[in-house]
Amino acid sequence: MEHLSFDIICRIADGDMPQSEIELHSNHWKSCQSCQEEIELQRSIVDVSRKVQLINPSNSFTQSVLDVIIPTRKKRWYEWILHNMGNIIAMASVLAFLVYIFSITDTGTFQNNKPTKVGPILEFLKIIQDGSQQLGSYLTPKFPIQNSDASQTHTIVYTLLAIVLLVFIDRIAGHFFHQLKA
Amino acid sequence: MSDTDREIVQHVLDGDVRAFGLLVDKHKAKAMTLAVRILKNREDAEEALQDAFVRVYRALSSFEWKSSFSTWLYRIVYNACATAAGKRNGKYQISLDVVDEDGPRLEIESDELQPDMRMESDEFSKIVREEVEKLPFAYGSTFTLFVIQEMSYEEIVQVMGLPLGTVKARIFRARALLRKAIVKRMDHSLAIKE
Repeated sequence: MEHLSFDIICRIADGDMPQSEIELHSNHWKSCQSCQEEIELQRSIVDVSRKVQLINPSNSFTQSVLDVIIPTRKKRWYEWILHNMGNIIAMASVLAFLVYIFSITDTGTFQNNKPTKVGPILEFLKIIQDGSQQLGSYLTPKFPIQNSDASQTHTIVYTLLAIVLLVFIDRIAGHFFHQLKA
Repeated sequence: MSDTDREIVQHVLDGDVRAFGLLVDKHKAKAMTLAVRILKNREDAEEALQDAFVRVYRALSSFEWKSSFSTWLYRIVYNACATAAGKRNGKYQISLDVVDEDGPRLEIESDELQPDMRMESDEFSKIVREEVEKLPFAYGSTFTLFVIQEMSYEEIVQVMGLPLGTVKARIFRARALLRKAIVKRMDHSLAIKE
């Protein structure tokens, strides 16, 4: 006895077969327990699969979609400045520091080109420069560029110091203005 | 259901962007189920789904209602997941060793069903669920659209952009694989009980 093909079994199970075609197969189907069980199995597989519990995304999913599609309000200019105040101060300080250092690198001395009456900022920079020069003279023999011009070594050291200073001021100013805004 | 979708879409197009959240809430569970079936990973699925909903929102004004909203939505979800799968795996593997573009011609092995196989049992349900999750990408995603989304073959054709014969063949193949795996496991569990 030839059983119904799997295609026909699935179509009968899904109710996806016209009555005229069903009648063609009904003689076999109604008398064959094996084919009836196959049809029942296919119906059960689809029924169970339909009852499967749906998977929900996380609770914040809808809000996260809305956050992407709803345009955020543009910040006003003073908000932008306040938000970036740490970076602005740090950049300005380092820029001023570098300009000052490079302006004295050529002459090599601080005192010769600067007014005798110095303000607190210049005093502070002078201390940094003295420290940098000492650090530079300590490091110079250990670097392969020891034969190059001393001012180059100083420039490298000053640049490194400037980067450290940038990070330091940025963190401090950022923290300060964050608290101010809060 | 489509009328409601249409009303919500109209609200969104009229400027009530937050109404889009209603559409997301309405379709997210079924869409997430499809995404997890394709990507087999909850986090990847959620990321792809978010991407899909954002794409839906951006294309909402160009949707012409030639199909139902859900069919269009699942097409975008399917494409987003396929793209994510492609990025993740380099190139996702689709094994279609028995697909016939003109329709299914697969002959299945004729293992006899056990007469005392209880298809309404919890164990049977558990086995079916587990085996559906194990289906390869091509078959699992097509079968999920067929049973969970309860889409017709024609709707699945629109979602997946595949020929009707391929869609039928994938569902047919998925059912054949499920049948084989389920019969094997049920036989095994019956043998253990005996």
